Amino acid sequence: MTESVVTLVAQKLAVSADEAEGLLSAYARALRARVEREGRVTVHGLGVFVRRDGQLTLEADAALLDAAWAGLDTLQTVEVLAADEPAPDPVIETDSAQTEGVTGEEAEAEETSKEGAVSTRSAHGKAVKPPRKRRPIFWPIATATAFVLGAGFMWIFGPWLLGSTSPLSQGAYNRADTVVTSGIDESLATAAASDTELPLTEEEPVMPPGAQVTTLPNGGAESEPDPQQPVTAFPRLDREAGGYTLIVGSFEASDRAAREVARMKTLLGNQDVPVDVMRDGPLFRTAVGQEPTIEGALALKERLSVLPADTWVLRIRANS
Amino acid sequence: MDDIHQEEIVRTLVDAVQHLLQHNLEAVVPGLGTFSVAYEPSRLESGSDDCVVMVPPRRTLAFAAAQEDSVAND
Repeated sequence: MTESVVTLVAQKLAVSADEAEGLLSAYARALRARVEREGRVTVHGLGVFVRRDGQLTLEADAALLDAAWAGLDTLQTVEVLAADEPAPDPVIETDSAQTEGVTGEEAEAEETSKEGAVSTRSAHGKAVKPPRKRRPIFWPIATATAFVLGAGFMWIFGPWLLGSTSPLSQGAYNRADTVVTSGIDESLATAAASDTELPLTEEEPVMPPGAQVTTLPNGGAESEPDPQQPVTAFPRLDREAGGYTLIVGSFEASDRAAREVARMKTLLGNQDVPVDVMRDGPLFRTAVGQEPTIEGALALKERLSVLPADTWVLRIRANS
Repeated sequence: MDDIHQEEIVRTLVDAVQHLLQHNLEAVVPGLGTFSVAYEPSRLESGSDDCVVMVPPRRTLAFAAAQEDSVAND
C-alpha cells in the first residue's frame, strides 16, 4: 500500500482509512475556521498557518524543515572565480548530508577546493567542502597488469592445479634424473637426433668439447662391484678396436652406471651387443654397442628400439 | 473513534507529514493541503563586477492549500 497521510494516521490510530480521512478533514475544517477567526494558528511540528490574500499559507517551523532536509537554505551565494576564467562544471549536488563535515575551525578560514572550482560558505561563516573528485583509473594498464599476473600464476601453479607437474618442479626433476645435462651431453646429443641432422664425419669424431677421456682398466666398472648386479654374458667394449658406441646414460657415480648397465642388459635380452661402462673424465657413461662408423652406430640405435630416445654416439678410445 | 482526542490526531498528523517528507514523498492532508519538497541543485551564475558566483543548492518546502470549496463542502 502506498504511504499517505491517511494510511499512516489510520495505522497509528488503529482506525480505517475512511475514518482517518474523516478525522483529518474534521481537523482541517476546525483549523481553517480558527485561522479565519484568529488570523494565524501555530501547529507545532508543522509551522504557522496564516491567511494571506485570501489563501491559507504556511510558515514552516524548524522541525518540518529538518524533516524536509531544507536546512541548506542557510547557505549563501559566494564568489568563486572571475568571469574571464573558464567556468567549471556547475553541478555540485550538495545536499544537507554533506554539511555534516563542517567544523567550527574550518569556519575561520575560507575553504577552496584543490580543483579551484567552488567553495561554499554558510550563513554562519562555516565552510562546506565540495565533494572530492575520484582519481581516474587507467583501465588498460590495470587490465594488462592483471593479465600478466594471472598468466604468471597459471604458468607456475596451473599444472599443479590441473594435476600434472609444475614446470619448475619438472625442471628440477630433469636435473636430478639426468646426472649430466651439461653442454657436453647437449653438444653430442645432436648426433643421435637423426641421420639427416648428423653433422659428424669419420674425420670429426664425436667428442665432448674439452673432455678428458681416459681408459678404464678392463672391467673398471667392476672396480666397485655391485653385489646385486647379475653377471651376464654380454660382451664388453673392445677399446683397442675403437669405433663408436651408443651412450644411454652418464653418471657421476660408477655404481649408478653399473646399475644402468645391468638394466640395459635386461632390456636388450638376447641382443648380441656389448654393454659396458666408459670412463669419460669425471663421468661414468653407460655404453651400448660398438660399431666402426657413426652411421653404423646410428643404425644400431634404430635397431635397438629399447634404447632411450636421447641416446647419442661417442667415439671409443683406447683409454676410455 | 470518539475516544480519540484532537491532540492525538494532531500529533499523528505531524508525524505522518514529517515521515513522508523525509522520504521525498508528498503529504496530502484532506481538507488542509499538500506538503512537498522541491530540490534546486547548485548552479553558477555571472554576478556583478565580472565575477562568477555559485548559488548553493536548495531544498524548499512547499505547501499548497486545498481549495476552500472542498473544505466548505466537508
